[in-house]
Amino acid sequence: MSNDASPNHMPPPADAPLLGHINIKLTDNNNELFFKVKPTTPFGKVMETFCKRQGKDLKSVRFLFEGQRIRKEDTCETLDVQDGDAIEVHQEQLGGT
Amino acid sequence: MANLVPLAMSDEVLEGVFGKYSEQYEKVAEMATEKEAEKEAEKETEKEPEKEPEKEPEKEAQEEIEKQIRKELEESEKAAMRELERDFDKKFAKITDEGKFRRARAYPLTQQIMSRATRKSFISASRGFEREPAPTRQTTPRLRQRRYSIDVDVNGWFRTRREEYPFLLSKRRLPKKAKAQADPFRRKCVEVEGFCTHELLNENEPLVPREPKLPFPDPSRYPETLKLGAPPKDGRTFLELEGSSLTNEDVHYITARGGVDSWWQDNTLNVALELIEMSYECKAHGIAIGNSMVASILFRLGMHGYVDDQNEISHFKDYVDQFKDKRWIFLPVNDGFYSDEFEQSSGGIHWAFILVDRKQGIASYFDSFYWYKPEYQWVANSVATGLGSILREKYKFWADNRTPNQSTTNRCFDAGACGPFVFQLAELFVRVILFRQQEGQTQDSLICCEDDIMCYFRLDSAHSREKVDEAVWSMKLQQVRDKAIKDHDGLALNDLPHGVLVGKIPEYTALAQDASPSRNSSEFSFRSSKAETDTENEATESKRLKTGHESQDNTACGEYGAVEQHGSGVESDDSEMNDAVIVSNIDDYLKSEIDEAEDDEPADEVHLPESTSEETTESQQLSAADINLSSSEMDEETRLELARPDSRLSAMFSLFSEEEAKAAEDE
Repeated sequence: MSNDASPNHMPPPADAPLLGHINIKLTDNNNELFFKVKPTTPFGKVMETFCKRQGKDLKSVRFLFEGQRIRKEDTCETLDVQDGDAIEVHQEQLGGT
Repeated sequence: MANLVPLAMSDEVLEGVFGKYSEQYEKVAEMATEKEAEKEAEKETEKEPEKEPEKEPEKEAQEEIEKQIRKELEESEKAAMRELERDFDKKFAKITDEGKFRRARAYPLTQQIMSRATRKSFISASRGFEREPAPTRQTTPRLRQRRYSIDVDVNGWFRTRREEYPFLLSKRRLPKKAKAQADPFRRKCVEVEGFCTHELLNENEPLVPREPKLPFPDPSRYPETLKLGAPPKDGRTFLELEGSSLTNEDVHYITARGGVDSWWQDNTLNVALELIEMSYECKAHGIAIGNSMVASILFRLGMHGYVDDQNEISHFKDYVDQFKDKRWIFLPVNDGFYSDEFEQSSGGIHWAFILVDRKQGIASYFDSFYWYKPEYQWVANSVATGLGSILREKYKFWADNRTPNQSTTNRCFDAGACGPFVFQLAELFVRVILFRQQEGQTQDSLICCEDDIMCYFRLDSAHSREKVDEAVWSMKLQQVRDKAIKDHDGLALNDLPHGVLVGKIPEYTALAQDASPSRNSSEFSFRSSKAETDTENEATESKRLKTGHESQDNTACGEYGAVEQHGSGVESDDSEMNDAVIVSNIDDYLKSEIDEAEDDEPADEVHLPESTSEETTESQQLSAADINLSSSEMDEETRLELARPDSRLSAMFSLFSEEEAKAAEDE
């Protein structure tokens, strides 16, 4: 993946945001998913949907917004997520050898 | 029985009355029949003239008797009914409010009871708490004089174990019933005077519930009294820190040393690193410890080389804020960062870390297993490059080849020692940095190149795991405590009078205390920490003020910008220390070197700077030798000879150095 194609350069979603809805983008370096959520929707729902789509286990994925780990009970309001913000998804890391 | 007496008496009276009058009745009836028979006989003979004079006196007498009898009967019946009613009222009286109150309260002479019972303790209090609760923290001046009395029931104390637990020591198993009887915690019901007297009982009324006992103020304000059990193995959050969190499941695997369970997840390592950062107050000392997710983001940025695009970098403002005013930056590295780029990511197999010294412009890579493998070095270098990109700097990368191997030099068996290794070495470096700041050294030499650290570093992953476990648990206890104190003191210190100062909640210092590794001791270490923190803090602060003020200024952020902008010219201004002269040289050298060097190549070769200054002091030679060591062509003996004499660390490690020297000679 080249630098030019990094997630930050992606155009915003075409449709205009509904009143009171926030468009957020979930990216794990390969895929991007756009979500339209209410400000009060807990992120647990978004996480589950993302994992279902990507076929991942919720336990093995970490969600980050502006360097902060997102918890399931967080909402766009509590984290101050603005329209068009990106949320990074990281695979869990493991090490032992 | 006193109530029944009047009833019995009345019965007797009744019987007596009825008996007397019934006899009279019979007599009267006999007389009446005789008289009727006479009347009939007289009627036949003489009908009308004899009637009036004979009948009148007899009739009057009879009527009077009958009236008397009826009156007495009615009166006696009424009296009996009255007796009965009185008795009934007395027996089944409605419970008054006062009666209910007395019945609801176990100890009518005292206030409401406050109690708390655990398996081994039972505390109850009956006075003192009707006032506001006492605050946890001390206030100056004290709010009011408080007096507490604690009644302790020592019955059953000071017994031998055999007396107390006969069923525990007997070889054969007792049946359950006997065990229950022998159970010392089973309490007998105690009757209390003044409680539940018979006049308060009324079967017709619903039961009056016992007045609820007040709970004691939350005892978790004092974590030494608490003992948390192990959490269930699930995915719920156990500990939450600012930048990382630990699930219940992870807690179980911190100390596991066998099998796949022993491999640390990013959660565990991030929490361990953040605990280092918190307990040593790293942020205030120019040290930043990033977590694996930050490192992974920086890897993505730097994996294709140095990024010069302003647009690209503007998205990393948060990370720039985190690192811009720090001198030392620790970042964990996992080979999974690279595999994360693909769909089927494995999550990595190995932890290592880099330590970036921004003043020197050097990124050192410490890896306990694969330090020599170029692909692992490449991942670490990419992280360093990404960090350099967002901070507009370039670092020289080198992999430390003296890092002990985690499987051959570990003091215990451990199937997944790389996580504990990262924790242990990072903590050691932090301690060394802080130690030198305290001692007032300018820290211009490369700590990562110094022999007296790496040579005497002994990996003990079991100890590290226990240390992390203990720190996690005491952090958890502290969080519980802080919440309890906050809730409790919110009530106790609700509206303070003007000018009253409230003491601080003692802070978390579990890691920095060198407590013994068992979990029980963590509870005690807390106690000591609470008692001593104030004095310790004062002592350390005053020490810092005296000695380390200059050094703190040197490491502070403001100067960093200066270093970046003006090169190394700043140090020579306040070069009271000997090292400063040398370091300015090294800086000059490194700056020039960085411009020439390519980032991707791990630079194993760092040459000595040609000393431009005329003074060649001893320390200059030594530090030069230190840097030369990075080429790692010397054996251990020569390294030992060149160990730095100036730092007190060498004195600390002198014991080890002797052993080391002997071992080297033997070999």
